[in-house]
Amino acid sequence: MSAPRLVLERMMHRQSIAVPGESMASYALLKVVPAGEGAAGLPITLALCIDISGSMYWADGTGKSRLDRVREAATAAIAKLKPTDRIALIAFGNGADVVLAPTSASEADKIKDTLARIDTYSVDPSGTTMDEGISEALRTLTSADQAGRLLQVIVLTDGETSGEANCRELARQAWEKQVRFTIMGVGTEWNSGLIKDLAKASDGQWYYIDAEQTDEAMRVFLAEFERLIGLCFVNVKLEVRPVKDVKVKRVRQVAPQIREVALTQVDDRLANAALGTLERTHPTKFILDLSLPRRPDGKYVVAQVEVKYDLPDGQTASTGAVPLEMTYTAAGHGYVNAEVARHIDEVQIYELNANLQQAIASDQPEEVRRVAEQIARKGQVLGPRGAKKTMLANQVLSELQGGGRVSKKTMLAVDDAARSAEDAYAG
Amino acid sequence: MICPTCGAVNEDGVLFCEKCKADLEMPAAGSPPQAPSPMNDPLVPRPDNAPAEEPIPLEPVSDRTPPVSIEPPANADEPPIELEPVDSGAVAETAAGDTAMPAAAEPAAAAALVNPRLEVLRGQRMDAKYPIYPGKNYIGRTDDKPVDIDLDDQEAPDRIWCSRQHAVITFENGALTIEDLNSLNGTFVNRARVHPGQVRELRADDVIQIGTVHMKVVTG
Repeated sequence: MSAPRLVLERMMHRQSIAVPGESMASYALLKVVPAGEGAAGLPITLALCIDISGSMYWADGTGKSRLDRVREAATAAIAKLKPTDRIALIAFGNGADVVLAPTSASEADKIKDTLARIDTYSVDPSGTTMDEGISEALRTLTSADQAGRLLQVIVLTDGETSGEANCRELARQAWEKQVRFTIMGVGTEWNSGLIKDLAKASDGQWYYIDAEQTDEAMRVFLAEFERLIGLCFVNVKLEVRPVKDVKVKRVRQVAPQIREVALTQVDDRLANAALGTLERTHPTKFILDLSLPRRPDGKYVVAQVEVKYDLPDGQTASTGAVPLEMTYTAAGHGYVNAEVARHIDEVQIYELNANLQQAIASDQPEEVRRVAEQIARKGQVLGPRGAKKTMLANQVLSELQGGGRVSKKTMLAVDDAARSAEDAYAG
Repeated sequence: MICPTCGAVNEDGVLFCEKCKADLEMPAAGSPPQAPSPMNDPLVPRPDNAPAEEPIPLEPVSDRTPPVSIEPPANADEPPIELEPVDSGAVAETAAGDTAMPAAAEPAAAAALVNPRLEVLRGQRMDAKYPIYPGKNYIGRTDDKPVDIDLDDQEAPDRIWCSRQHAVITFENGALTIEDLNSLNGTFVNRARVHPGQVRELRADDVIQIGTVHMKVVTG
């Protein structure tokens, strides 16, 4: 049985390039693929913060209150945890309370029972103070007996919170203490800007749960818990060593989700990026934006890439340095690698979406229309992978046509879809 | 490279504008970087002879290269074409379509095709001829979903590169078009890739490559 490890695969966007000017932008796809077997994911301690404010009792036409749907979803998701995992439950409304201290996942009945009664504790439901919920969660997770474990806060809310500045500060502190945030928003009344900022500040995730669809809470909880229990590689770092005159401009994660990764230029010859914690179950993929200088025809190494990481037992490992190579052919550009191209198309939609959200927020209907049309067209190029994005962009266009305004629900749905990388579609 | 949409300056080869995120064209090899042709700008109205109700870019404004072929654009690399009379206009247009301006294919100028079919140039069964009927003709390998042109027996069993639903040829109003259905290994016409979502017009004597199979468009 071999220990879990990461393997680095890479491919260039083009088989070969011609550089008529001084330099040419090019792209490389890096796949960080988990291999080996044996070790379970890291033991994790979760603090699940659930909003119990009044609006959580709305049924949104599904016949079941938001809180009931969330409870069912959480119960099903908790059943997936490993026996070594622990969970704490925190209720927040106007004020917050730890209703269950960190408890081993093997005590399933106790957890389930507390979850069923989460709205009967002494928390006042007449408000939303997410900051107090998060603050309780951090205090619980950072106590001494949780050392050596992955620490995760999951916040579920459906409304605007008071104390936004406090929330941001807590997210920053969480990041310093290596606590990750997952924030789930139900319905459309929550402040999506805040929630995305919190997720970003703590290197975490955010989810949108459509309140009018019965199974959405279940889908999101199961997806998130699946991800959490698979986390295995921590402190993952990417190091890129470009050769002379080659520049690394940017790194973006493109699967399982699309996000910008901060790149630190140590000097001309080394750039590195913190990739966070990676899963044991799926490859994580990245696109490197490169700037390549002019060269005579031939094959050249343009950079060395290496991924370093820690294993659950604390050992440090590395994929070894892997060269990125590019062939120069002045006569013409070589074929495009379809897989790399699709990921770049998805990045483009992701970035178009950022412009779209901004245009909607600043009420520029012409710009909204122009960007939505581009997203719809780009989604079409992606075929089945882009179908949802195209559909939602068309929804934006039709709402614009109909009432002149784009609904919050559609805005959130576009935002949510734009960062998702569809699974590789095999013909 | 200057973005035709917002005017921002981008490095050559960037696939979409850093500022407005609109598609940018790859500068052609061997020529100095130049402003993209207006045909590729979604904001410029189409020429008058184009049907107005069509989506503006006939081909999605592609971030991938217009197929710049390294070989001479005609089918020089293919087995010699039999000495049947070839419509010189069609050949000239095929050549034009192969170079800088794929979006410039003008449906109005194309002669109506009669009785089109595909003849296998390379494949396991060289004698095969596939008629193309009016409407949509799906190409692929019949599995759970049927296809009209089944290439299952054309590829060596150890080198199946053709997807189940690989591409579709549409024969309408005397014109032939081909679209790739997001196939794994791509569809090529005269060695230039037809990207998923792109509608590529076909002329007589065009050579289509799907997986390892080469087929020529024959009419009349």
